[in-house]
Amino acid sequence: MNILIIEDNPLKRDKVVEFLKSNTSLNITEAASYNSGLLAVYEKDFDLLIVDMSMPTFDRNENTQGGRFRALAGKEIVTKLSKGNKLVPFVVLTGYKDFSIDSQSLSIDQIHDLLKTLGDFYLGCIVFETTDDVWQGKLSAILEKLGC
Amino acid sequence: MKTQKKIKGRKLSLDQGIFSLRREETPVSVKRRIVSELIRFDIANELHLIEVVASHPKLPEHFNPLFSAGREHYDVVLMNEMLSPVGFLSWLIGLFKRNAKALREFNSLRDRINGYVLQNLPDQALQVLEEVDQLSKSWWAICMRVHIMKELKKGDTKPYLLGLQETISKANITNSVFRLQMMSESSSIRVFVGDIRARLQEYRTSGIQQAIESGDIESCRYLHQYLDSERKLDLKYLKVEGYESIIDQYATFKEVVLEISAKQQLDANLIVKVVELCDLTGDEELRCAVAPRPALSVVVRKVVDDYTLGKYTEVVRSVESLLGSGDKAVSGLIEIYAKSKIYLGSPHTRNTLFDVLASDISSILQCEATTAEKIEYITKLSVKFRGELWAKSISFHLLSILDEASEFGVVELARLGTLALGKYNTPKAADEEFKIELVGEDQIKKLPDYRAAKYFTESGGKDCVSEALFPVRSDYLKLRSSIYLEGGDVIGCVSFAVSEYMKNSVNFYHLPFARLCGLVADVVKEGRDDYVVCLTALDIYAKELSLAFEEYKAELFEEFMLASGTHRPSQMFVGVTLTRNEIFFLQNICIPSQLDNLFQFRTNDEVVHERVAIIDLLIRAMPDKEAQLRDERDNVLVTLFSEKLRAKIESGKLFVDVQALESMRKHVYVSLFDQAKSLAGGILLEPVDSESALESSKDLFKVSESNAIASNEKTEILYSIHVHAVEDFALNENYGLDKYLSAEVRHMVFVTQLRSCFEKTRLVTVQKNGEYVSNEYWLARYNFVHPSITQEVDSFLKRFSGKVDAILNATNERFRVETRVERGGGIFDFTAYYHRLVKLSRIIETSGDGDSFFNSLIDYMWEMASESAKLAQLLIANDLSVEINDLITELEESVNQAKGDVAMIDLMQEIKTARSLFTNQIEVVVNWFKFVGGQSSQDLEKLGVVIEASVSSFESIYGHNECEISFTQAKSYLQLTYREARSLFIAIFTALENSVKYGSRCCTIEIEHRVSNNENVILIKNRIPEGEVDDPQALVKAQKEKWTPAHAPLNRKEGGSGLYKIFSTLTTASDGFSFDIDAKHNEFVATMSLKNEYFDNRG
Repeated sequence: MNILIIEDNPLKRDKVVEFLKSNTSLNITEAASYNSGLLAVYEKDFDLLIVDMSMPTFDRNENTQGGRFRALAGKEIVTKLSKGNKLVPFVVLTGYKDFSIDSQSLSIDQIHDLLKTLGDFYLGCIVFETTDDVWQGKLSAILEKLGC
Repeated sequence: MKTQKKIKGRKLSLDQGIFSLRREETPVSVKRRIVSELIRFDIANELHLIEVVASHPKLPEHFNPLFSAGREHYDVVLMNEMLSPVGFLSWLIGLFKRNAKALREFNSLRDRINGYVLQNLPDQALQVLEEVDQLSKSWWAICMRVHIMKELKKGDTKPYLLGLQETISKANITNSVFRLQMMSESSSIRVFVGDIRARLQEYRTSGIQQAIESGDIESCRYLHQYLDSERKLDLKYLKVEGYESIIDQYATFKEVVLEISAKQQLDANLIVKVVELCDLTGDEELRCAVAPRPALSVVVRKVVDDYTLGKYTEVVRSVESLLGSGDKAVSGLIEIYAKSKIYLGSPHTRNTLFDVLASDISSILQCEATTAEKIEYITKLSVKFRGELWAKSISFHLLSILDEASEFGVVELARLGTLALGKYNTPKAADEEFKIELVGEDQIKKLPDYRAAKYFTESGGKDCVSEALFPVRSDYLKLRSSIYLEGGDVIGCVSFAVSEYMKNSVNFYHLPFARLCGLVADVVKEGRDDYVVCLTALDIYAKELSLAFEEYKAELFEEFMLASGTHRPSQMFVGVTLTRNEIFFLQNICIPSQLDNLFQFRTNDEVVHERVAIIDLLIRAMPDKEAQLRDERDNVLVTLFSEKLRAKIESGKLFVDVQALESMRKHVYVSLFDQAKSLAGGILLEPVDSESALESSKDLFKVSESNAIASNEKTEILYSIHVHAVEDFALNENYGLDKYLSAEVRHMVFVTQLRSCFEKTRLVTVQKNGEYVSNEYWLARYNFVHPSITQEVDSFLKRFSGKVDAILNATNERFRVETRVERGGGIFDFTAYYHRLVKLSRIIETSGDGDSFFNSLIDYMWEMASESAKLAQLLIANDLSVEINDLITELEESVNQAKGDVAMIDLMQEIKTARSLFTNQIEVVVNWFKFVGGQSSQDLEKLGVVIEASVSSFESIYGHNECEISFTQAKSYLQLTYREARSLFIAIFTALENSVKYGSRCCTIEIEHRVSNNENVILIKNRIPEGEVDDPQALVKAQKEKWTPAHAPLNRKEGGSGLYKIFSTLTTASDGFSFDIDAKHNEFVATMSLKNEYFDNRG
């Protein structure tokens, strides 16, 4: 099973990868920004996307902060893929409970409602906490549902 | 004939004797008896009897809210608290009947006041207001007085407003005064409207019915319906204002009835009551709510007919005559008058308010540059005089002129608000589907061509509609657009609208951009021009009105790029003469935030470089704008480089000035290396697997369970090398790690970075005399909530402030270097553990010479730093993040519990926003400890880029504060190495931080870059609070005295002003830097100088 993780926070990404690697049947690809996430999907087929919600447009490194920060990058990615008929099953894994765009704020529940419009591809929203493993159980359940 | 003693209701009856003072009774007992009867009637639903009591001539005056001379405002029995909503309504109608004479008089005085207002006769208007006060004190009169003073007399209303509470002892009117002050004094009426709407939002989402009803009535009192389409009025809500004067309650009653009746038929019983009231009070405006629409009045009919037939001189004469006589027939004629003046080419005198309004309407119709200002002014007046006929009329006429740019449904709501004008309402306002009616061919022929064209357009359409034909520009734009759309030519209409907008952006108000943006998605675009013009229209809409189509614009942009076969717009237009639309497209749409949606760009650099290429194209296309475009180009590049530099510096906070260390101390390590290499038996140290092995170790002498000391020359020399390396690499006050940890992390930076999340959301306050001050922002924001709730919430916010600061400061203290086993808590642990000495021995063993040893040693020090950096990241990401998030959750829960059902949406929203911001900032500060290693970049940075990076970095953290930065920069060719750039960045940042910390609040901080032949100078100035510094020169002297090598430990200390750190950072980095300070009684200046000879000609 091919999985793409799109997550800009390296600590979080490492934890998720470490958890997923315990399952040897998974091929894991990592992307750290809106742009590299989209590119990865255009270049290769995946069975599951694990998407963070907020991230920069481009990969960050010691020389750049990655351009424009997108509060709803995850939603933008899946919407774009959907319009281009390239969407595959995805789950949102985010450390944020609220998302601020300009003067508006969307809660994770509101994001959930927006993503539901993408139909069966959307497998749910999981809140990632560094100090507990509830997210692991939820992610495992999703993998099981997909036959892994 | 005997007077009827009892008045019968359906089941109960009213004994008229209840009003009489019986033997040994007091007025209080009479009052109680009357109240008791009223409650009894209310329970029994004997509404007619309640009305009879209220209107009874023997009802004691204390029940009647007619606050005439000798009676205090609000000195009344509050029946609204005792009766049900339905009961109170009957009570109110009864009171109106009782006071019919006063209300009739009020209506008459009101008309006179409005007549004077429109004629700009404020003194006469104020005089008549005195007569209104004689009838009864009222908020209506207070508000009118304030507005007349402010708008007509252009006077200061603050003393009057501040003195109001003293004149009203029976009620606390703080909130009412505050609202009136906001309406009167705000720079824009939108502030006032926004404030009410925010409160209404709170009420309506609270689920508390009483709050919702109160909000709806308040909204009706202050706002036209088009400004609050969500309100749902009901006469039963009127009891919320049952303590107000009879004049105020009547005014509100009238507005509510008019508004309800505009949308639905009133209850039959109520209609009867209202008709009765109208007969008693002579209120023809109120009658419009219950009677069929009256025929147009004779005078208005004449004006309208004259206007239709182009007799504009007659129109102007008639209207001016009506105005001069104070006739309220003039209320609905402002637009007709304005247009007549345009057709006549007659200038406005602006001598009366009426003419000022008409003149402003003319300006708007003619798309003059001051349109926005005029709209704001008319809106302001229409809100301030909200209940008056002319204000209702002009609201509608303004919105109908601007209908293309108005929200859906707003114009119709405003039109319904003109119902009260009745026979004075022009057909355009009175009729939902206004169509001109003409009788007879001969009359049609009399229509001026431009008027006829609006209603009788010939086929062959748009080409007949030429600009020259139309004196009123708005008419031309609207008619031409409608012909395109009726013919189905959407692209044609878009091109026309865009073209007209380009000629004059104010034309936007009269062009159908909103409709066009909704249509473009379904239109086939047949080539580049179609795409460009559609994208341009969408962009114009976003700039002028709203972002509703931004998502579609981004999609269309991508579609266009895909269809063009490139992701680089600059490539599409090479060697082509650009059209006006293409220039707009390239300049305004092909910007980084649009380009970066294209996945073909792999880095932000590529995006920015494409933008630069686009600007180059534009420079060639618009030579007259070359200077401006070159500035933009330079700014784009400077921003790019400064962001890169900032990223580098901010992600490289773990810095050691290895260059300085090497130049000063390398020889010591070479010598120690030689010494180690010359040891008999070699230098290699065996690892010790367990503590018990210490017992038998020949290299170590066990001192305690966990501690050992060197027992021979080998371990001693290794230990010595380690200690030296730590002293230099980690602890040296001039170039070591801890110096930079101090300057870039511990000294305000870390705490401020994270605290800013809570400052931006106004959740924290500061300490004064050891206590956290109250959160005045939220206390003022919720001044309408019970103080017991707001005080409790304030206590939670204070507690939150204290806990957040404690955690942040405690964490901040951990970013220190630790070198001893007896740990002080520092996370950067350079303790000489045995395994480290083993590693060191291996480094020496494998190094061929002193140079390679030194390099390997530095790498090893970085390795140790890296281990600690990971711990720092985990400390922040796990411990700190969890603790602070727990505090946020605790705050949220506490506030929720304290407020109960009371809506405090904004506060709860800000708590959520703070959580988001904090999560984001945690990632930022974690990133500070990510990149570890030598930064020996050979790139040179321009001085301008370094200054820009420092300022933008500072603004990103402090930008929410009240302090503003005034930043001026000169062009300079100086270039700095990364090390120098970094030092200057830290110096500027620290100096700016000092300005915030020590300078006057709300004063601008100036940062100025000057260039001369010999040097470049950066000056940072801030004002000092009055009396803060007794002897400025003594302060300067005391600071400068510390600028000696003996004070190097100040580099690593916290709690100081950072001036020594700035001095040391700069002077250690280059001899070309110098630093100076100066102070006067009210100003402090920090000056950083760069001698040109050190920094130029380096490329």
